[in-house]
Amino acid sequence: MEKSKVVILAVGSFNPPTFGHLRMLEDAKTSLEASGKEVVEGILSPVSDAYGKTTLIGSYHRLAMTDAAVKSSDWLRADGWECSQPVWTTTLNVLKHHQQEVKSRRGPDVDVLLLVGGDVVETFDKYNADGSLVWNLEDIQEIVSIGLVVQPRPGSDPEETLKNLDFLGWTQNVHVIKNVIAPNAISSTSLRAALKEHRSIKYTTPDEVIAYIKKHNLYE
Amino acid sequence: MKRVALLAVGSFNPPTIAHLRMLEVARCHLESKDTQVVEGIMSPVADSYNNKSTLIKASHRLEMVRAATKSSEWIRADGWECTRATWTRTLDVLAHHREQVQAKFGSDVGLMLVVGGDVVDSFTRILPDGSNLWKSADIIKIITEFGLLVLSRDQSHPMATIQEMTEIPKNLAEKIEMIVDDVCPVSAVSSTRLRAAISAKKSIKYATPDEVIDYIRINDLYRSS
Repeated sequence: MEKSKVVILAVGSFNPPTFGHLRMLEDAKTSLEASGKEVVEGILSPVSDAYGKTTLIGSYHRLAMTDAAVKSSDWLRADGWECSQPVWTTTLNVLKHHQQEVKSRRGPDVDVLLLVGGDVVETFDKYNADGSLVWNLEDIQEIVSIGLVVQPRPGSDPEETLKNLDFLGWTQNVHVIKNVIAPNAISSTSLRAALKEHRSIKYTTPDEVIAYIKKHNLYE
Repeated sequence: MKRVALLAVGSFNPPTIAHLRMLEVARCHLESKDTQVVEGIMSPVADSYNNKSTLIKASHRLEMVRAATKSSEWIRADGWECTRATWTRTLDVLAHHREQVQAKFGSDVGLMLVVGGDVVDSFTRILPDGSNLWKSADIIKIITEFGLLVLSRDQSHPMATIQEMTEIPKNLAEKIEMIVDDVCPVSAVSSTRLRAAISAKKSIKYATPDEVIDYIRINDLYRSS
């Protein structure tokens, strides 16, 4: 039987991208391949400026840094569709866009899977301060029906949350990454803090990203 | 301004991002305290260190450290220790490199040892034959005559270990520089994990520099499990 082909989609601020983001994608690929899938592509999609966090620098730079970060990879690429939208796009719609784009380019049998950290899954059943749910449950149901890859994080139990929410098809469509080689403890927040204080960030993100940050005096 | 070079010793089997970060953080820490760091030296241990079957040949480990430090402006690999026929005590490795560093940069330059917290925990380790892995006289000399920088890691308690060692004078513990990598606590990246991943044909990209991965692939290292 031919292996089913998949594309992994990672969304985030990438402000800046770190080895943590890149390792998460490598671990996801290794784990999916061990379960019999063929991973043909990985897409990193920076969020648009309309997302509105004050520490978020312009998406032009975040896309260029993501591009620089994946330069040495033979399967990852940065994609600017999401961040070039004038308004904020829901994760579901970003996923739908890429699913459509990938299927038209690679064929209808190729699926796009959304990659998220276990901490994100744990917010699926959480409420905002005003009593509304953080997530639109219909959106999550639709994301799950397309496909979800979850990176476990220390102290989080994504499988338990998913079990409780019991989305249709979650047992088939949700893949929890096994055997993480380098647990992600590198955060963009701590990199920004270090850059502000002129401390070294070498070996926390590819040299190409550091060169770009320096050239454009970002996060000073 | 005070000037020092930094020495990191270890198996580097293979070198990882964590080894490199340790030196970067040590340098940042010293420079924030008005000490100029003139050089960083990574010295792989010799093959005779032990008969661990997982330790691959020093020639390969040295080349991997060379590859790992290729993009650095201040860290270099050194093969003096690993090309010696017998195992060399860390104190003697320090003495050798201090001589080299002073000949190169001037007699005012000191040499400090940088280690992970897990190495300090090994100070109290007893070998199967009942002898101590470390001589306490060596530890005292390393602290007083050279200087010791310790990078905190999860699950290691270097300060507690030092304070429990009755052979070491209490005031010496204060001389040890404790450092923390709050930018990138990558202590979870270990050579052991990388070896397991390589032998299982899993990706180790972004856990060590690309140059190291290329070297491992070209020489077909760590493939037998």
